[in-house]
Amino acid sequence: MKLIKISLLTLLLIPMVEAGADKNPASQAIQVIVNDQSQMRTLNRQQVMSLFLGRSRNFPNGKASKTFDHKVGSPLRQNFFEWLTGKSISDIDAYWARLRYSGRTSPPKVLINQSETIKRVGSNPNAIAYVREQDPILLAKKGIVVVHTLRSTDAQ
Amino acid sequence: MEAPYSDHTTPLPPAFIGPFKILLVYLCLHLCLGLPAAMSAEASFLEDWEFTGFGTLGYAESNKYSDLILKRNVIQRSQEVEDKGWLVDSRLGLQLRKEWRHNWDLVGQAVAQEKTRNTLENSIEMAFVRYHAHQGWSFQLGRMALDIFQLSDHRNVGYSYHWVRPPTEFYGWIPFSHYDGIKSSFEISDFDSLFRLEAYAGTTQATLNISHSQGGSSYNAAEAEPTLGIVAYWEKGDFTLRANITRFRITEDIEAVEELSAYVNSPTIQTYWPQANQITQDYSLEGASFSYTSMGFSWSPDSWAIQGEVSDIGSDSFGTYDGQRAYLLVGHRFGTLLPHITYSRSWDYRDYPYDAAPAIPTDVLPAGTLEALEIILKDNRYSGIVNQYTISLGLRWDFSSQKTLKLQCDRTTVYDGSLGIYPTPKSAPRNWQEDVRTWCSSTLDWIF
Repeated sequence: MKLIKISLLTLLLIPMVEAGADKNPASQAIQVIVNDQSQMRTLNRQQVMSLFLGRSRNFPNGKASKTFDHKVGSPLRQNFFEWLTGKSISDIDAYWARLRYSGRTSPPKVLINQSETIKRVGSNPNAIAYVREQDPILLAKKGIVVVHTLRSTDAQ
Repeated sequence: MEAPYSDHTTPLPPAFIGPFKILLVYLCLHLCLGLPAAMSAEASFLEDWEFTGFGTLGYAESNKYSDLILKRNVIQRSQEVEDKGWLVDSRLGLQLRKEWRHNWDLVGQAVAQEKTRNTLENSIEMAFVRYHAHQGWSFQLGRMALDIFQLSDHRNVGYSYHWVRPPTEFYGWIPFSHYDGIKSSFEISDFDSLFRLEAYAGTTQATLNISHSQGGSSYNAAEAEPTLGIVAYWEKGDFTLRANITRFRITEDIEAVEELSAYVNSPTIQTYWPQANQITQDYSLEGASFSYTSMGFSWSPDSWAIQGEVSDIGSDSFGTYDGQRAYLLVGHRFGTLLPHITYSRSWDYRDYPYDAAPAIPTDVLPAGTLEALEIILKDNRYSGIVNQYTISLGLRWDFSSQKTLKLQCDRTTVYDGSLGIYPTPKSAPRNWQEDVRTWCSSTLDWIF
């Protein structure tokens, strides 16, 4: 009887599966961007990972950093973390759940869309975020520097 | 923890009081001087609060067997989880966090779940303020999650681990989940690796239900004052290593032992079996020192998930657990599916080291009186021994963003004379012979 109940619970939840495992065409590169005033010109993969996984609160030059993220479930966010870490986005979410609900720290603040991200990074000297590939010259005019670029082939 | 007690605790040794007070004064000065200034200077203090949460809806075959009840931990009421299998793993947590000025944050968390003393105050798992000082130092004051195992500060968050519940042998027996006190951390990161050292001090309380019966003398109130600990944590790439030493000074109030104590103090028992009083006293936990040492790791190369932990429990008291615990999990992710296997083991070395009850004239006490008393004493001893191992097969299915469905079956071998944390409705004497039990459970876990 109990096994039947467990099986029923499982079956009831199957329809909740999101259709389409891969909703993101995502061949476009992802740029990690910072404010020009951070004085950062480049970051390596380890440094980006450290900042976006909450392991560091400062840039390598010692200045305070503030990470920004995209919405949960967005293809851009999934691509970014999977290409950066080589892990499934579920593993990343579980990792953040451990940090958040143990009271250690919180995930990066979520911004609504790419334009808000660019606006926020352009106005906050501590900001670091990521966007789909943009023209670096146009970004520079907004006081933004591309410090790292991720591609789908980067996923381990 | 099982066994006995009194109403007062042993005063803290001077060695504990000094550093504790200095740190408390230092932190209070920071908070009293810095916090109001920061709040008044920051116009947006009332903005940007994070409201988040987590939940688990589960079902476990808790009453599959008539002689042994599946429980998640010793703070759950035995008969409640026996009658309602969905109570074993289900819970709901809400969290509030505010960060401001890059240096300060406030965290509050409340968790609704099955437990013996289910009050609002006891449901608050975290309520602390933290100050990030310079050069990697931070200080916390308030109620914090007790970080004595690898998962202990997030064991309520099912989404954050792969099992339906953390291995019972390792995680099920400690009643404490949070403490009120202070914590200081030092963290250093070179972007390639991270090292963190934490020291904490405080007090904590919990109410246990070890036996099958509920209410009154079936509940034991345990208090750990002080709780002192150090945690070292190292993370590099996919590998993390964690070591912990915690020392508790425990006083536990067990009505049943108090009743027993009153009984054996009668002049007749004292005359014919003086050791009975000593045995009863030995069950008491009054300011008993209790140390917990653990070391754990997790490693996730490519799509693998490997995690293990060992611990040692030592005590100067007859009444507390004594032995080692260990587990090892190996899993592999295939897209949204993550099957895993776990072996967990608990060794418990306690025995009953006393002489048999003496024979006494039947004109003094009815025949069998002392023998019956001895059976009760022995049964109390053996019923709390955790000498068992479990092999678990599980499957995690991340079917949707931040939602996962888990199925797990545990095959537990409970050795002779041990009942582990699984209560039994059988009455004393419970002469348990080695036996095997299999329970299956399923949960839906999510975060929001």
